Amino acid sequence: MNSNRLPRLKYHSPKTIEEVLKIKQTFADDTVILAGGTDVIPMLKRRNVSCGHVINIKRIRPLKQISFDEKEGLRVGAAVTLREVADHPVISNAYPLMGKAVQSVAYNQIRNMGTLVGNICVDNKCTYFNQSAFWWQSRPDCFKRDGDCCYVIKGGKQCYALSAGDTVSALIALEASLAIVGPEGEQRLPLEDFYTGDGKKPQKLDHNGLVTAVLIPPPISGWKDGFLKKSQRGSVDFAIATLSIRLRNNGTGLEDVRIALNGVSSKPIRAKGAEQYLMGKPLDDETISEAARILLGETTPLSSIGTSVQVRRRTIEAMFTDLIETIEG
Amino acid sequence: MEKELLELTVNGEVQEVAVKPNDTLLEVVRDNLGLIGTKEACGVGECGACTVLMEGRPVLSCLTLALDATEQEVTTIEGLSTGEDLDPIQESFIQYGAVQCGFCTPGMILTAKELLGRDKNPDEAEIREAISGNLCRCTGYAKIVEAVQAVK
Repeated sequence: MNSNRLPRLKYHSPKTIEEVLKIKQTFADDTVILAGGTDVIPMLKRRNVSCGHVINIKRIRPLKQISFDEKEGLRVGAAVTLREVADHPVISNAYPLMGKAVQSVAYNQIRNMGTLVGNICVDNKCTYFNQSAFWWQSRPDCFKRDGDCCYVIKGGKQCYALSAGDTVSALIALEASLAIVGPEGEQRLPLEDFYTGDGKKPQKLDHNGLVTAVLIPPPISGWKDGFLKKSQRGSVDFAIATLSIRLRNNGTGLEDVRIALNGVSSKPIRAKGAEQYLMGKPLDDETISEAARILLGETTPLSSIGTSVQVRRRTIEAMFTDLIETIEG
Repeated sequence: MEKELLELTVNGEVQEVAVKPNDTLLEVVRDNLGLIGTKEACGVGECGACTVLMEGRPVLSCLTLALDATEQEVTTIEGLSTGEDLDPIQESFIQYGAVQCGFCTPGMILTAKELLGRDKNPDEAEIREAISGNLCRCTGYAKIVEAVQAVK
């Protein structure tokens, strides 16, 4: 068996969103959306997912657009590549946090193909689940393969595949939301509420829905921000953690702060406890180390994708201290 | 599975090929068009050996469905030279000994081609960032970086 050969499939290349919904309604969970393909194609090749119908959304003109309005903010369509986001003047000028997060994803070729919405909708990753069909012949299926065990958390009652999108922490810190179109029309969902925490079905998106865009509120002056990603090897590994912080300091203390993490657990984390603790406080060493302690308490890092719980915890702590000091620099 | 007739523009030449929906661009370029300069190594987007340019930008042909390549300008390593006349980047790779086993070379050169197209004088960090998705297990990258830097 040539494991690098794609399974048999039917290819759809609709020109409108309505056509996508029709195909989805007809073939339900036998469909997969193809935008950049950098995650979907390897999963199909490894037989991690099986589906007979691939729906290419790159020919749908409205999904190819980035638009910006000072009142409405930024809208990035579902077929816009990470490279197009990084190269867009509005993003480098008004959303530097997003620019940094986008540049941190994988490498050159992947950013030329992969999309921002694809990074948001990327399936959770797992040392076990993402192995080949051949590998899986040697052991019973896990939850994510419709079996009834988890190899990451032995005795676990659900799937603990890792939430891996590198741009997600930045987008949550920026209070982004998603435009999701279904048979009932368009819905807006805060990105923070999009993730379920169940690695088997990590996102709240049913078979009839299509994420058409990510929406980011207009930039407000007075905020400072920063992004960090740590991985074992820069371009080829999934993150040990990605961290985004935005804050507004009035000189005597923090007026407002947003802290978000991804790549550490089965869903992204908005660290509301640490945020609350930091409100009104000046950023001295003691405050920062206490905030880091609270942040770790809100996080349940997993031992997965080549990184142990201990390393993940220490890395998160160091990243938080580094990043908040750099921002305040 | 039924084959579909696909119009592909590869290295400036328009060609019609019958492809299956699950054929990748890599498979069509190598097996249908006989352009075997493009290599397959990992097949899942980790190594960059299958890099081709689409609309001038490096992409992974092993993760691109052939049907997705319609109406796109595709350039493979064969499109860089005319007969014995090599591209300056190819000349530089030879001169600087940046080729050992050669398996990563086509992808490496195409990635460098795009980089040098948007930045005539990249520094070492920019070169390393641009080629970070092209894995080489022979050279240790030093000579590749030198070769790219030396292209005028």
